[in-house]
Amino acid sequence: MSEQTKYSSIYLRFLNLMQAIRELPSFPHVDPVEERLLNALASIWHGGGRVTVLEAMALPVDVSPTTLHRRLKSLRAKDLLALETDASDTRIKYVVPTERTDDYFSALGRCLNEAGRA
Amino acid sequence: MSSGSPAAPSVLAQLTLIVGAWVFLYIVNDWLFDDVAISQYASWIFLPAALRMLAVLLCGWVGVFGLFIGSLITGYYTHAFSDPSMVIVLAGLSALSPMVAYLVCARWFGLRSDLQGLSASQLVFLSVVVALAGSVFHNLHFTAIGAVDAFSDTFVTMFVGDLIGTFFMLYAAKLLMGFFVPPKSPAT
Repeated sequence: MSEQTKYSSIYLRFLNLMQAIRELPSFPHVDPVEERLLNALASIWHGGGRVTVLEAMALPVDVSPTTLHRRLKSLRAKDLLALETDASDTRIKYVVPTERTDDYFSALGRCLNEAGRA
Repeated sequence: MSSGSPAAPSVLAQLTLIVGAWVFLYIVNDWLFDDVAISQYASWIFLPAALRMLAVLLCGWVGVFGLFIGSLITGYYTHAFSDPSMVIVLAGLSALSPMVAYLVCARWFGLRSDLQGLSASQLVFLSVVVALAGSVFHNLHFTAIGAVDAFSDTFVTMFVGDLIGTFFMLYAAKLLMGFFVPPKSPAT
């Protein structure tokens, strides 16, 4: 192997390693629609309300109910939402926050605090 | 130096960097986490463990040699020359175990030598295997020479310490990159 190839190889390894480190899991990636949906749900949860899946699909976040349904599924896959069946009527499912949802909003709150101090 | 290619470190520079980083991290670890060390061999937090993986990933066998020299120096720091054979064996185990783990994982994942395609989950898995290899090899040696009564005496501490140290350093690097490297724009 020539000196130049060997050196380029070390540099490439360094770049690829940095990329892998950068992608280490830290904060859940949430797209803008998911973010708006989570915010709308959070304001209801904060007021002590409960939201069924159907009600969640009708929330005013400027996208179609189908898109909202897809986002509910993707948020559930990211463990940012969970479904809870109604005790008296198993056909009704509520959208509820998970521990990760609480962590997500706590992290956002901390960011806001730091931005406020800056 | 050829034009157009980034200035690359020579073998001597790589060795100096690895040995220096190992000794520095060892001393910092000893200073910060002396209270969580259960013996002169095992601590619940061991920061230099991260360097084992990074040195082997980046520099290959040069990294192994750098780790060996670094471990000899820190072996002298902890053992003086009271037991030179122990220092040499421990340095050898410390340097070779990450290479063994890397070779196993590279074969398993089909990793390219330039690390292209190395994912974060593979890096996490490799961290676990490096920590496991290091603690298994060291503790097999300790058990064989009778330095510990049972294999498990320091195995768990070394494994957990290596893992915590590795992830501490990886996330510190990630945090630093967040400061110095602008984030990628989101895909549309």
